[in-house]
Amino acid sequence: MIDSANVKALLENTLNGISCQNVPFRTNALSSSVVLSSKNGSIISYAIDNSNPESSTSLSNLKMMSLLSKDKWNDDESQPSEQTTKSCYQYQWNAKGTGYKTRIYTYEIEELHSCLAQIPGSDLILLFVADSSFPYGLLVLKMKQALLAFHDMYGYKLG
Amino acid sequence: MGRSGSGKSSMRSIIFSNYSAFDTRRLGATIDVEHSHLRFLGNMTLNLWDCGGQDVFMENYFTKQKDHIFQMVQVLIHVFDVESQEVIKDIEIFMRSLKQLKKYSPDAKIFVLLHKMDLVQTDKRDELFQIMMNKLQQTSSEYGFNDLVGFPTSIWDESLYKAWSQIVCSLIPNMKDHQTNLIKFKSILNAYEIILFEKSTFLVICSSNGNMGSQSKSLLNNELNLDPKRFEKISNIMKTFKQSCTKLKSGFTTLILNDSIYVTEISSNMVCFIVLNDTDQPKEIIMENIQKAKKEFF
Repeated sequence: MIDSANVKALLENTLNGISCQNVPFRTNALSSSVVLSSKNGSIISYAIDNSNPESSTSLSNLKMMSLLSKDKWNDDESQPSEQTTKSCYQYQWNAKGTGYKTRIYTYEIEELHSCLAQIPGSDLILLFVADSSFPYGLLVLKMKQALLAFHDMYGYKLG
Repeated sequence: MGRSGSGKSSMRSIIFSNYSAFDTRRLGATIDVEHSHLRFLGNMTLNLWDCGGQDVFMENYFTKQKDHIFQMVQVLIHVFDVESQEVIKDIEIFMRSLKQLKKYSPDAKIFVLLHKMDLVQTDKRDELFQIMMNKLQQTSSEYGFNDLVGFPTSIWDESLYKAWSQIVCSLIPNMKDHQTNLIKFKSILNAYEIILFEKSTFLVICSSNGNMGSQSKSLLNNELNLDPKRFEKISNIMKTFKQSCTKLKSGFTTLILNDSIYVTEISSNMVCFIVLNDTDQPKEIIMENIQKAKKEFF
């Protein structure tokens, strides 16, 4: 079973923006961060950034975005040619002595930047949505780090 | 079993046929024995034998039909009418059934219901129940049935429902497991209360906030401000709703109210009723967790 309170807290942590000290640069927080089902695109858990009322999205919007992202992800996953483009990153890492790999995709949804990856071996997708000022590269880096935090959900199959 | 007019068939109709207390006025006298078969919790069949209570039939049960009536009895539910003029005779009949039970099915569980309690003044009810129970306990231990359980009941309040729930629960072998599973499940979902119902009768099997009727439970209820009649009310509402579902030629499976109340089948013969503390959890995660919990309840 999924402890919804824990997952939500984890997602809320991923919302934080990135700031660089050496060069004066900081990003806004993510507008939302979602765990969704890779089977039907429905939202399992989500966190929305409420600090910035302009960028925050409503839940029904988020549901729609999740559905669209899941459809696009499904298409890309089934076509190897899509996985050689520059918007797809192969990512491999080791955790607890086991190797894991997944593909991280970046998409543009209207004026938003999004980034998603399947939680390895599971029926779940982790999705970040940010405003257009958030560079894709940083989203991917963020995703790589965030995936490590979700290690308890690796291989989770929906019932 | 019980004397004529003590309300046996009315009880059966209310609990198992979804009659309202008012509807039971239409019921006539039961002729001989009426059998009903209820599939209960999948692997159990409840064969309910509603024995007519008129003296002619009664006499028959103890003489000609005794081996037929009293063999392989798991539970005897003896109903007493509190208003009865012939208490001595009522007890005598109870003794005669005990005598037969001792001979034919000595492992039977015995329940006595002091029925029509609503006809007794409120302040006298406890006293009357105690006197009667003491007498009955004494009688039954003479026949080797030491753990007699009795309930004061009335069709006009929740007492009848409570009594039947406990009778049926006593027949369920893995009650303890259900109870512990339910408490774990409650903490995972961050729920206010989870109640487990039997699917066809909608009798309460157990609740995450303790077992029904026990003393600690009623204390707990006061703290949590829960309606003591909620089990019966929910059961009634759900039974009516289930019946209206059959008009659409489909069975009831799931109902979600305001993202906080989830009613869904948790196994082939149980329905869980979940009340959540917070309404902001997406319904997929709840349904997903319920799916996962299904393995634990069977």
